[in-house]
Amino acid sequence: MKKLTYKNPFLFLLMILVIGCEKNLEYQLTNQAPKVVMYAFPMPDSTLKIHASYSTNILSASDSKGIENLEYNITVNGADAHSGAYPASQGWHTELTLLGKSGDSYHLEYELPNGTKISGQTTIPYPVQIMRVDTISASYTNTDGKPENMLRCTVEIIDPGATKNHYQIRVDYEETTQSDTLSSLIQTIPFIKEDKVFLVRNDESSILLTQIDLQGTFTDYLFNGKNYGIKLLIPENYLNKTTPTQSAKLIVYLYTLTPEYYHFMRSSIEETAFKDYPVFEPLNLFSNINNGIGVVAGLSVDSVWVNLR
Amino acid sequence: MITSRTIKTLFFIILLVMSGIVDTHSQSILNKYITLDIGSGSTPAILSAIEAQTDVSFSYSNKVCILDSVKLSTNRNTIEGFLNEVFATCPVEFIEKKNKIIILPLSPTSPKVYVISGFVRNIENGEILLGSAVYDALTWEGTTTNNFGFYSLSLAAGEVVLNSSFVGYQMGQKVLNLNSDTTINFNLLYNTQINEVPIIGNIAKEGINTTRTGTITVPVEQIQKFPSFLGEVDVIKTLQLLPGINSGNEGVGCLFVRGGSVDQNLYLLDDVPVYNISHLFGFFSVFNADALNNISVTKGGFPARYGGRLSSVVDIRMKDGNSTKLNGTVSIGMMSSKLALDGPLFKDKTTFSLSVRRSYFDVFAMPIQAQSNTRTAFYFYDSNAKITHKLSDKSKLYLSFYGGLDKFYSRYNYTQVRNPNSDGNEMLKVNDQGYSGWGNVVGSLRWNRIYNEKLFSNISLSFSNYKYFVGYEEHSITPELWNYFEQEYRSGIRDLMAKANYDYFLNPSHHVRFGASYTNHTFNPGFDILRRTQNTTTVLDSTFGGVNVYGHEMFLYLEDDFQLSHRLKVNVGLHTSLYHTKNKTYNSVQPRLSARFLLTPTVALKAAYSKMTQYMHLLGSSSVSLPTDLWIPVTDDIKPQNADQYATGLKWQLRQGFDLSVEGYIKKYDNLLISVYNRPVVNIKDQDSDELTYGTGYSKGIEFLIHKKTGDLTGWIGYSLSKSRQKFNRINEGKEFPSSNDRVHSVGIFSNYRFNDKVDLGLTWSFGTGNTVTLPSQKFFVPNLPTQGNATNNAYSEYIGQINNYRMPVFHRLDVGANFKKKNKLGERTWSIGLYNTYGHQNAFSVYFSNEVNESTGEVTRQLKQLSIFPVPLPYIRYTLKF
Repeated sequence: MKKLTYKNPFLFLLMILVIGCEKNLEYQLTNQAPKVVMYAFPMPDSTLKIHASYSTNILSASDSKGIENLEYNITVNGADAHSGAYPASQGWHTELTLLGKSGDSYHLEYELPNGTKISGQTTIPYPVQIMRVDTISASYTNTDGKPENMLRCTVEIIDPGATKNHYQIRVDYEETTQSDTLSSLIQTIPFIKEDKVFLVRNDESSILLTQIDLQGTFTDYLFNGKNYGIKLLIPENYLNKTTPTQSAKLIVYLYTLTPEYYHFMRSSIEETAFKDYPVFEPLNLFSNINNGIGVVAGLSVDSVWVNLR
Repeated sequence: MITSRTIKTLFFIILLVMSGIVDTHSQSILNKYITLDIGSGSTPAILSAIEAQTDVSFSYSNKVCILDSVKLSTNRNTIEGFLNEVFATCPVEFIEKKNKIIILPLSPTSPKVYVISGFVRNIENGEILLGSAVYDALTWEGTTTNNFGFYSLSLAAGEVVLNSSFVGYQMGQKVLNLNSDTTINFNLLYNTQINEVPIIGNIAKEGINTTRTGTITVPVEQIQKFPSFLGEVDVIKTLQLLPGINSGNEGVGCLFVRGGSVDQNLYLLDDVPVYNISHLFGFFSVFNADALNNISVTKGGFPARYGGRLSSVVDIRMKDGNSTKLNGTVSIGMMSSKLALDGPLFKDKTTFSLSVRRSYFDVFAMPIQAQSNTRTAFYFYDSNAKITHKLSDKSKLYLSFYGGLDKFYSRYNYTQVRNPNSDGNEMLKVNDQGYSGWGNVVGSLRWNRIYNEKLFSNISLSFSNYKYFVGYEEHSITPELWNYFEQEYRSGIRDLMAKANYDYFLNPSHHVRFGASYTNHTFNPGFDILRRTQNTTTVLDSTFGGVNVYGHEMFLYLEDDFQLSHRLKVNVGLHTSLYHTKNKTYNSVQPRLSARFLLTPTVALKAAYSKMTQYMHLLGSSSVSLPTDLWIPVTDDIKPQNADQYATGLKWQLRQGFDLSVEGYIKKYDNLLISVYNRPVVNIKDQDSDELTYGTGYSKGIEFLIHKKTGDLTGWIGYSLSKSRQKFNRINEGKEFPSSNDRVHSVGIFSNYRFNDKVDLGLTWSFGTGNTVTLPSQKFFVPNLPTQGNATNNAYSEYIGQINNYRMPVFHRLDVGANFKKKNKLGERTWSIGLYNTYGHQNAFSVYFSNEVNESTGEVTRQLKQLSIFPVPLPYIRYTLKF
């Protein structure tokens, strides 16, 4: 598959890094207190999951450490919704009683045994609807220089004009096969981001490492308040599977993201990419947590499916 | 470590001492009040009465008028007041010598004063010698040439022994009987063998004479002898060896001056600012030494004529061109080749200077990769051109140009496509490519005019255009369709400037400069161009992205370099600037003061204060300065940055061209700008302002420099001890942290020894405390997000608790090089050979954490590592032919 990316313009820098020489350095850990990490991603019609852990020191092989005796409190639209003790051994704690809906404002607060409070808040956005998805066959040259038949999808949406909106498009391939038993396979497609909404760099995306795949995130910068069709290409290998299938379809998700979700996700992708280049300063991820790190960020989704067989 | 309080105290003590000395000199005995017993009497009687009341004695000749009776208006007055009454009818002058007052008759008329003016040039090529001393050896009154080699000196009629001297040149002398305004041009002979020229009399030369502190001029001839990286002589890397100037990372040609950042340096090429001075990510600079006449760097004590940057002014002057014959230089190196030509275009009227340089990595790399379907290369080039035209003896035009470009590219997917415009089977070769690059184009038209012997003007129109671009092109080809797509991102800065500078040589004690400047800035924060064609039909051609940001910058300045006494010289000036954004106007009043007091004819005490304002910021993302670093102009919401600098120092001229200086400084900044998330902000929009935060900073230090510019052994030894800190409320928990360029100790040594006319050997050694870098202190869990589907995320991320919390290992490197010259029938050829990083020390370019897996146990450990980019000695060779 041919990726719509820039070839790295910094090949020379890389070349220098390659011919360069590495050696180990002594590093004395300083006694820094761990940070409390908080995550929650409230969505409509979904139960709320929350995460709490401590960060670990930079030379540690483990990435997190449980917090003993942590109390949490969740308020929705200013009213207490739930509180309790966070189970230190769990990566995620699910609040089955809390079902999100668009427009709800969530405030999550942790309290350590010493009284220190950590908090974050967000509001679940209203989902922007997919009006329709048009598909048409298209030919494309892959990285081997050979033509490849692809499916061009145009995802049409009507953008609300009053605010700056943040989006993500994800496309999953789902097939159902039947040999002895019915089984299904779901794959997230690394589709080709043909539309210029994926290319515009008016935001904070990196102009240095342009090959970063920002996983279909974009804003309404180019079409604020208008009806717009976003174009993307589905590679051939998802269209003509040789294995016998009972059914195969594409599921197109349009996520409406809060700014905090959008910024956290993109900063996370960029941080991972920058980490490969020692010449760049390390980045901190976006965070909206008071007195801690992580993010509390709402989102909502609309989806349609396209039947392939 | 010296403290800011110490430096400030010292600064004011020096100013007080200087003013006290002036005051002491002004405490004449003539001003002493006395009371006489008599109210009238003859001239001798009254003088005797004064002598009786004081311990002074009078000496006078019979040529002064002696009256039999003088009536005094009061019996209490100063001695001078009584004397003025006694000699009211005949003009006399009083000269004090210890306790003696000599009374001399005044000659009927004072001697007439005439003006001597002219230029000082190099006799061999006609290039002007700016900063040359011109003085009368009898009265010790003198001045220096301005940036165009012009001087003007007012002297009393009579015999004058006019000398002109410049470091490394034989002194010129003209003896004349001055009886009218006169033009005298000096043509000095360059001679490296000038040894041991003693200081004659009590006049101080050059560096001692000037009030400027923190200003260092490095002769181009010295720069050309430097051992170099891959044989590329580099002006900027030469300056990095001076005290108070850091390089940042190894091999990179950035300047961090006295704790300032890279954007705080003003690079002026023939008075025009150049925004990006790097080729190949800073491994080389854009300034071609073959095209240059003079380089000076000012680190502090900025005179009022300079403004717009906080930390330094690097003033680079291009050659005018030889006025008598055609000269040329051809130079072939490992990385690039150069050609320089200069000479007369029209005899005695017009000269030119032209130089071009191009790298040729791509010339070799592309054929080597011919069999590969992916070919990667880069190139850079630069060109300098200048035409100087003499309109008259008092008027001259200069047209200067610089153009340079860097481009990196990778070409891939080579294929053929049928030409849709042809009927037959004509095939076109096409390929996809990704590319990136940057370039500067600057130009200026300047007009020098001498209005009279005292007033000189330079009026200029100029432009500077910097651009950065990155893009890719691709072809999608089927039997039916040739689909072509191109995307390019461009950003840049364009400046248009008009400037008028005047030099007014009022008298030997006052050199007044004044002027004004206007700059129209256009900041292009970046836009995308998208083009798509199918066969030959354009189906998409659109441009979108940031809107240009405009700024109007103006400044006025007035400064006077004046001599209060033979010992004390002061430069007082005022620089006022305005910057107009869309809806707002910022202004800044910047006083400048510098003073020099001669302790002895060869030792000068100096002090300076300057306030600077800068109307743009640079946001970077890496430990090296990259072309993608974003210039952020002042807008309605983004404020200008400011700095106040105090400096005091001592300069001792051991011999002409051989001096020792010590200088201490303290610099304070405000409105420093940084991205909250420690990453570049790509677009300039008002709503982005909240991603940026302001802070303050300071730097202080002491610098030592021994500089020898003449003789067989030339070079310098520099050392600086410094500290630089910044503080931003929104990052680093509001705590102070070391600046990226903070380097406690720094040593730079350059030495060149000329064995004979054919061979010289040079070495440089640099040593410094390691740079500060930001290392993460914690790891934390990062989940897969609900919208990522099967795509997996990094399981952890790193958290940066403190900025610049780690210091790299100490840095040191030795470079050696030798030049072998020989005359041949074409001219003079030089083979330059040498070794960069001679003893192969592994200096850290960057540091980072990395996981290591024990293959037998599977255990994962993390380790801090350093990357060295030039860990082994790198030889170089270059061939140069001068004709």
